[in-house]
Amino acid sequence: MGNRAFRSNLNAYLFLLPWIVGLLLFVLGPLLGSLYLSFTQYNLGSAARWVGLQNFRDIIADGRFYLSVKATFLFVLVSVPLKLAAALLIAVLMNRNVRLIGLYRTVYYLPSLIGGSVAVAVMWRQIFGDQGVFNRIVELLGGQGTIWTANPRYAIYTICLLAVWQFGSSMVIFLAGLKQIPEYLYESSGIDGASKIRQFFHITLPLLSPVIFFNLVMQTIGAFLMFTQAYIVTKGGPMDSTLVYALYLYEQGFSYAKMGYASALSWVLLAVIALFTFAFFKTSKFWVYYESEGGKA
Amino acid sequence: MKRISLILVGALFLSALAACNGGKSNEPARSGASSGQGGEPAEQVELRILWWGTQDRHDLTVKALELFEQKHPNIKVKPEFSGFDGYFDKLNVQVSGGNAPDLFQTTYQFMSDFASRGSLLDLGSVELNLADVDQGTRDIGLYEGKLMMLPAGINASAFAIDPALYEKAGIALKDRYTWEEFAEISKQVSEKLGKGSYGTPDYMNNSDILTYFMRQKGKSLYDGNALGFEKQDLVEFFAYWDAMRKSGAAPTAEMTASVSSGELEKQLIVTGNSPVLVLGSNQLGSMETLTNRKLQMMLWPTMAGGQEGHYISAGISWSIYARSEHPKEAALLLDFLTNDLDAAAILGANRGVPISAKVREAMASSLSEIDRKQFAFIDELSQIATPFNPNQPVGASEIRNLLINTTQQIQFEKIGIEEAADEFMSKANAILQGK
Repeated sequence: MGNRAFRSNLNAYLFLLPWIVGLLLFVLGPLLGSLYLSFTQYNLGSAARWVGLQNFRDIIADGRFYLSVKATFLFVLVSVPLKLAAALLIAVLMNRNVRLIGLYRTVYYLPSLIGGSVAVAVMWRQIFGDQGVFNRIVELLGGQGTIWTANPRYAIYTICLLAVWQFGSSMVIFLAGLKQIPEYLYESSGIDGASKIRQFFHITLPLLSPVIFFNLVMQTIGAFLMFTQAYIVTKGGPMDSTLVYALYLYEQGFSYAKMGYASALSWVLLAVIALFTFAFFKTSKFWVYYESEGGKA
Repeated sequence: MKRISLILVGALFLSALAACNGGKSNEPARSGASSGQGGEPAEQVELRILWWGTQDRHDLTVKALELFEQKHPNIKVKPEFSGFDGYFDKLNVQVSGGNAPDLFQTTYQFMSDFASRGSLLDLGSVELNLADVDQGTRDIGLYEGKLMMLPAGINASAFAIDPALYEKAGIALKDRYTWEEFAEISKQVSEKLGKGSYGTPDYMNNSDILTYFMRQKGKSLYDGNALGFEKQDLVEFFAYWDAMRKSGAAPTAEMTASVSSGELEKQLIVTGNSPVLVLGSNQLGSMETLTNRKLQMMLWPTMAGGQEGHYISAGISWSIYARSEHPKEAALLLDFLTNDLDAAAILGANRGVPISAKVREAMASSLSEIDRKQFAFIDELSQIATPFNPNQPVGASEIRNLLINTTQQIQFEKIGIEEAADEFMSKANAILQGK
């Protein structure tokens, strides 16, 4: 390695330094710390005591752990596909040149900015509350209303809906992906008589699949970590039906100060997320299309 | 009349309190020192103070803090406040992060959890004038013999009721009901006021009512570090409220689940959908502001063949953070909130009847109407209240949530009363044994 190369690398490292220091101090350090704590009984304020695998044994015997796993999987399975579908649909609609398109895009992105706020949570509880708009509609259609956010059967779906509503960031990424698809493909297939729907399934979707894959992985990870919406709308209730994993972890760690147990919970979550991400990558070769690889699916 | 009532307050409830904690004789804090002058900082210091409450309390407290800053130009006070809902979550996070406020509101139901983690400063280690505070009141803040919190005011939990709603339902109010009578009138209110209105909220999940119920049965919620009652007692308690819900006297499970007890603004009494609310006597004024109607306090129902279950305690206390960088100045502020007559004139009895005898005396002539109601109620209560040990075991806050979770399963009719009681007993015992 020449002096010159070293010098230019040095510059790069200097620029990276804040990030590297941040990674070591604020990510790797706490990560290892929590790994250690997961093998201890550590109630905030008292000293950590090594208990081996006891926390993990407790997790297996913990009824509320299973409730939180159930709520989390339900949330991931319902919200992620719906959110991606909504984001893709809106992105396709937004991908055209009409007047004020910039304004529309901004408007559809807005929920992503405000969705985690307390004001929206209050609004959500209002909409799905006893006297809420949603009940009015249900009653107009001849149905029987309920307090949707406080009904153990439906509460998790109101949270899912709130998450789906915040499709903005996926939409923006889809939009960027759509702009990459060459116009001539649509033109020539149009000349061959392909309908818009056919074009969507045979041109748009395959060429967009890397972006879909990216969004799927990111949104799944995000959904596993979901906290804010459940915390501000339902607090995990009723009957723990919306006690998503991050909320349960928070409750154990901060409300009850059982940091050792909470750390163990967080490592279980990490393992599950890693497993899912791994599975996505393994299956991706069957459905993700990379043009650069010569079109081999 | 005012005079007499005040003297009664002074004499009666304090003696009741002293009786509550008669067994202990610790001297928790250096008392007798005149307030303040030792703690004045030489250079600019910023204090943080945190409390929960409704808007009226925020306004009063901020005003009192401005006065404090005037009196102590070298101390700047940064107020932080919120509703009760989520308050202890926030405080827990701040304590875990080592950045809790110097002075914060707390309550005896949560004190042991905080004190056991070493988050509270021993108030005996700072200069604090407690000469005018009687022993019984100080003992409320004791944890393992150390003064970990100082009551901000004396109060009692009871019903706040809306007499107009009862009248509308055709009920001529008595001073106090039995549990059976209360069930009857509550049902009548639900029927007369129509859909969406209920005689009472469902208090199956309320640990204050549970405490009261157990005391009526001659037991207690906690006995040292264990539960103070048997499964059968809990089954009885659950059965009462289960019948209330099923008869329509109390709301549906969804309705109960949609309002958390910490959100005063969302209680049924505010929207005129129920004439009853469990309330600390000091909150009557805040509640009248929210409902915009005249309310009054009412004692909880009596139990046939049971004992008196009412007790006086402190709903709100102050603690100093153990890792505060300015414990001396925080103590100065606490002393100001406790003893300063000008501060008392601003704060009134918003956090309960002031604990300093001197402050009570000075306030006597200028009591607002609502504070007079509050003083009179405490006065009335002090004549019947029985001794109460406010010290709760570590894990008490988790057990409060356990009660809510377990009773939800009854309310949504997922499990039966017997099964729920079994579950509560075994889980609560596991929590108390520090699993």
